[in-house]
Amino acid sequence: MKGSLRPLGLSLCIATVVLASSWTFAQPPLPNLAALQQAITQADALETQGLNLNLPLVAEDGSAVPLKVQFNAPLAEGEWITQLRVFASGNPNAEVIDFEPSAAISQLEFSSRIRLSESQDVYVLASSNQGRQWLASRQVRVTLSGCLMSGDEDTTQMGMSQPRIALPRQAQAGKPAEIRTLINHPMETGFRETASGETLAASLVDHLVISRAGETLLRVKFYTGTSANPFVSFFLDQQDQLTFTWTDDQGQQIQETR
Amino acid sequence: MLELFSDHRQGVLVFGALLGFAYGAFAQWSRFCLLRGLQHFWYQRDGRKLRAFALAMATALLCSQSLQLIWGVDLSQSLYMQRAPSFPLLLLGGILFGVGMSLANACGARSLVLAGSGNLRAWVVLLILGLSAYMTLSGILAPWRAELEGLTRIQLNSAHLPQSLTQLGLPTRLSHLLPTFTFSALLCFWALKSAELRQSPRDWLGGIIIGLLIALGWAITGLIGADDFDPVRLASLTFVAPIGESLQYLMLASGMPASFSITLVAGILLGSATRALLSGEWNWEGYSSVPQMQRGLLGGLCMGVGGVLALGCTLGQGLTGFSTLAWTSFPALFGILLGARLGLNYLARNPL
Repeated sequence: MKGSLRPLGLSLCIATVVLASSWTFAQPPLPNLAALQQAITQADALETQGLNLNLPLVAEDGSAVPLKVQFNAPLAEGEWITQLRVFASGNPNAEVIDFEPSAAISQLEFSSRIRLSESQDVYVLASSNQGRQWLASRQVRVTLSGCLMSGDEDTTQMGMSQPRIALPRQAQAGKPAEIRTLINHPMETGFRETASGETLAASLVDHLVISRAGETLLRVKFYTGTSANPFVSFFLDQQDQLTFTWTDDQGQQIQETR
Repeated sequence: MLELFSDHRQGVLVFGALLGFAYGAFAQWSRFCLLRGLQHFWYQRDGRKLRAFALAMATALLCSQSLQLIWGVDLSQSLYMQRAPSFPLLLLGGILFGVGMSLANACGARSLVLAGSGNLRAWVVLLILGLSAYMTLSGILAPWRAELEGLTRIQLNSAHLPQSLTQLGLPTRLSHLLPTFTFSALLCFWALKSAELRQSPRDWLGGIIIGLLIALGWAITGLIGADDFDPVRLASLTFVAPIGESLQYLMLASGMPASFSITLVAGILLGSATRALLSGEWNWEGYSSVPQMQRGLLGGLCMGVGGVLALGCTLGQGLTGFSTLAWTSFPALFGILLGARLGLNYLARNPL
């Protein structure tokens, strides 16, 4: 009796392993996230290879979680990535930040800091100009932590101020190098209430455009999921004569040229 | 010198480890300990260790405030500066911490130094302390802590003593200098009037060096760690949350960056071990009885929970917090002293 059961146990084991491995190689199940599903044009042809989403496994400060998106899959001749959109499944508003590079950007690596209201899955969707799409996701656990509940001061009167741009210290001609930017702004979400129960009005930096001689190299769109004082870093082959323009939701602009 | 590092974060990590090493070695040498100081002062009429702690407070205050006035390290960015703190919880946390350190027979900082020199009791206390600190900070006790904090918080007009003096009409500079010099002069006077302390360089020199290390910690995170885009959180020597963070790092290192507090803790263990081995003071020690172990475990638990509520330990609030003159430090420090008195009285009446 014992002997006859053994092959059955073995085959069950093998079946489980095969099943498990076929699960891991299959398409990741599509999240039930309206904003993301709208952005996906061909759900059955989604690719995963080459797109990386870097986030810490555990975030103690959900108000500023460091995010890095990298893309290095092979592309066809004349094909380039037009959009990298980040979505957070558990935030009140799923849209977090969009990077819209032009064909002039050869190294696709973007960093920022984002808001995550609870433990959740974060997604990034990359789209090329020829209609191909890539999806990657990562789970982040957000813990409740002390000392971070900053006061309830009214920040709605604070606009954009103090734009900062750091060009690479030792750049070699023709090699991509990192450029970092930051602007002071509270990025008020419109979800927050004061102690007296009034809802603070939303106030956001809408987007940042980096251009050279009128030609747009990169456009970054911010949402409520972007942290206060939006930080963006990216790579460029050539780092001179750049114009950085931040525009807020009131249409106010701040422009810096380097 | 900073060109040696790939970025400012790495510089902070390396200097944090060096600072920890120095603290571990000097604290192992001088046997710096507030608990021992209070015990000797209250029960044996020997004030040397307590006066050494006062000297460390004076040095830390003087040097940290100079750092703020001369080099522009903005201490108001530190954790101790809260505009809406909960004074009942700060006091309660301090008392819990004080009772805990008497039961465990060493505070968090001292336990780290002892752990580095072969004391296995200290390892057990550290594990429990780190675990209970994170239980309170972000684990199963966190929702209750946040709820209690919300209920008892009081909105203040100012986060620290100099700011209050400014609001009373004093010029900014004077409102920093006046309390700094008054407190340091009083503490120094009280410490140095004792001939016993003056004849014991291990105590007075140890106190001064540890006070200097506090200011050095502010300088590492506030000057090396300053960056327009990605500043390091301002911090100096403190031990409750960092012990918990180090334990968490051991378990989650693949998904979490190292920080100043983690390399600091590692540095202390190494520094203390090095000095203990070199001086022949390394000694394996363990619990000798079950009641002693019960006290150690309960002590570690009280210190972890209390340390988080009080925002720091004997060093974290007593020296580092005090050196910023934040309002939160005064009730916490008072609570720690009160708790230590209660705990030590209990131990005196119930010897093992």
